[in-house]
Amino acid sequence: MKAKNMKNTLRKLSILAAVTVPLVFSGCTWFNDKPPVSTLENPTRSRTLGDYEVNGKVLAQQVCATCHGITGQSDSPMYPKLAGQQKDYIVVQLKDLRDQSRSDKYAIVYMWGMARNLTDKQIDELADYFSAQTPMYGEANHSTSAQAQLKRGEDIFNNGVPTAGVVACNGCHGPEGAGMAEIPRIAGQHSDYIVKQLNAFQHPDDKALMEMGGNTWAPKMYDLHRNLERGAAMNAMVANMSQEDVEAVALYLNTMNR
Amino acid sequence: MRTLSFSETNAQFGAVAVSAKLKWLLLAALSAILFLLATQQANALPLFARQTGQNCLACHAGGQYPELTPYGRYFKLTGYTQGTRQDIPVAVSFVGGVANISDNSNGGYNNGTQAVNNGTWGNTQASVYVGGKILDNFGAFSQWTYCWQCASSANQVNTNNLTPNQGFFGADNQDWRYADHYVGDQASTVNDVIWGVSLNNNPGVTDVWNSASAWGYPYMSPMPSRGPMYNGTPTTFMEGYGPGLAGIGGYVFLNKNIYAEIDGYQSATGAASWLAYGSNNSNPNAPKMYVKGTNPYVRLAYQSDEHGAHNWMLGAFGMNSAVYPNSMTMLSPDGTTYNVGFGAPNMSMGTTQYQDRGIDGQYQYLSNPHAVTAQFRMVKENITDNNLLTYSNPTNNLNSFMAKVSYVYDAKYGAALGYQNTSGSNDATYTTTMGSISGSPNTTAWIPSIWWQALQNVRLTYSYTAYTQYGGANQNYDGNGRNASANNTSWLYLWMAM
Repeated sequence: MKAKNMKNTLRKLSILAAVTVPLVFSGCTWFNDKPPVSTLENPTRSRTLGDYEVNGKVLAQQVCATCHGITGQSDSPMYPKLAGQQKDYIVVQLKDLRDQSRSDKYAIVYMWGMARNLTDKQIDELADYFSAQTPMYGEANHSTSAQAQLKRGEDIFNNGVPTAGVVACNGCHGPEGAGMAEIPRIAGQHSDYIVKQLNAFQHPDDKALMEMGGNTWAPKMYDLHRNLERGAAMNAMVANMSQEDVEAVALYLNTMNR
Repeated sequence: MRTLSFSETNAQFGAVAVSAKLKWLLLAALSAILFLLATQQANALPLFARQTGQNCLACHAGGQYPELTPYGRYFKLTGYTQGTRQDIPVAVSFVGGVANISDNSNGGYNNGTQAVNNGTWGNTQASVYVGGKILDNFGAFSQWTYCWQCASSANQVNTNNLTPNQGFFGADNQDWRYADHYVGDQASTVNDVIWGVSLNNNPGVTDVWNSASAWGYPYMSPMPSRGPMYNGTPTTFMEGYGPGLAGIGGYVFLNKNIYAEIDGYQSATGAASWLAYGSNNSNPNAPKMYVKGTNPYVRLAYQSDEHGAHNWMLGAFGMNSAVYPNSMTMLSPDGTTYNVGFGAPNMSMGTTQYQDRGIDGQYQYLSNPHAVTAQFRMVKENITDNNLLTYSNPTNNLNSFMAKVSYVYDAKYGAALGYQNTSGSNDATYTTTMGSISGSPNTTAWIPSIWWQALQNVRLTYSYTAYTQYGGANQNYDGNGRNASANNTSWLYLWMAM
């Protein structure tokens, strides 16, 4: 009887140990992971976010490049190309993502987490890295069915849609769509991405009930929009643009600079 | 993820009986963890999401965990080290639902009842995950699971007087990695190298493509006492075996195109016995699996670059394993005995050897809000059992084919259709394990499913398994008038994590 009790106790203890040992093992370093105390063993190839010691270029190559491409020429239409993007634009966008004032849906899903712990210095270095790359280039689109749409897109880019209050894109983004300072380069960008952003500018009042990051069981109503102050001009200009025109200009932009 | 490996491999799987008192203790511990997690703001398995601050959608294709996006594969290959280390590196998950086998009345195999609580709610498993980013180059996916009723199945209980409905707590999928990533000059031939080593407990758990059996569709299965949905049908060693071996291996991923991995697996004994924690040879329901020497596992793959929203992979894998039989045997109709996967291992009679060779592939189209994923896997297995420890024939072969395609809209609404086919040489063992009168293992099933994700971490799935062939026949496979379709199983289940 006594032996049996002992055995039971031992068994319970061993189960408890199995739960707690890994917990402690993986958690024992948690006290010293807060900047400015660096715990980096490998600062030149680190994927650590939230440590001031990692250079922005390292983050660009180890973290950002996974989606945006090592040269900023992303393949997936879900992630904007950053190659040759205006440095000032990258800086203000990362800061907007960090302070959550840019909150279009996929910015929340993908970028809030990535940007949340970046330092100003890292943002500057990241922006240096991507803005210095060979500018993003577009994809050829020779499909004959798309020719009319492309023509429409080109017309909007150069002349706007006066009846809908849409100003010509080239006025601010430049004749080559290269942008300037805080105005982004748009030539060669993924058309899917352009469509999503124009729609975000068009509907700054959109809301969605969603969870953010690992904050599970805390769904919240999020306001889906770009930074309202910075995006005010775009919000106004594209407010009355038809979806056909949005898609046409996005398609055209994607064929620029190829 | 076949994290549910417990249910699929209850026979070989080890575990420890949990007393009622201890259950409460675990429950209390779980509640404490839940409380801590609930009070943690915006930090993200959910553990990984807290670490990166991103939503599940970033790493899981269309949010359909466990399927990985290109970014999710990178996250795993670089050792779960991206992001910010968490103060509380813990996540939890739960799976449970209502499973219903079409004809539970006459017990299709072994003349036992198939499902204990057919058509009523049943908990399947609850897991605790620890790890994530630990050091700059070191991280872990470490899953510990309590599984309801999973180390005994009804038919075995009836015929062997094993403990019925036993619950277990033990080591589930373990993958502890050291990894590094070099980025070179883009102009050179080799410009991107990821390499790493993994300490793990399940051949294939290291894989990052969801055509591999460890993480493949249908991801989850109801508890085994619910019927022969998966556990009655024969599987190849690689596909059927779950966590419980001690493996160490290395891998390299060149230019994000060419992947090569080699691992060696041994019995989880001595210092490595925690990898099979819960296994206990004194519990005949859940003995530890013993293999002879080092059993090699090799994996090669070519992954395409991303072409817009498209990417694909073609791969090959193989494993040789020599497994000691368990001591508990049953009598086949032809008079030979065969191993039932219960009881302490018998180390004195030699081993049953499995030689698995397979090819697989995956295609993904990922462009929010659309996600299309498709996988296939083919495995050819040669079984050598000269001492007739597990089978009635000294040599057998078993081939399996799996294909699946799924579509998810906005990471909320999903549908999938899977097809599985197993075929091989006849063996009297299958007459006893499956009830196949011809001794044929041949089984074909269609597995459609639909799901709804109300939140990114709560998924409600309805899946159906429709057998067009079971034990070699569509009609009367057991000689008593039971048709393959009598084993059709529906399962409405909840899968949540936090």
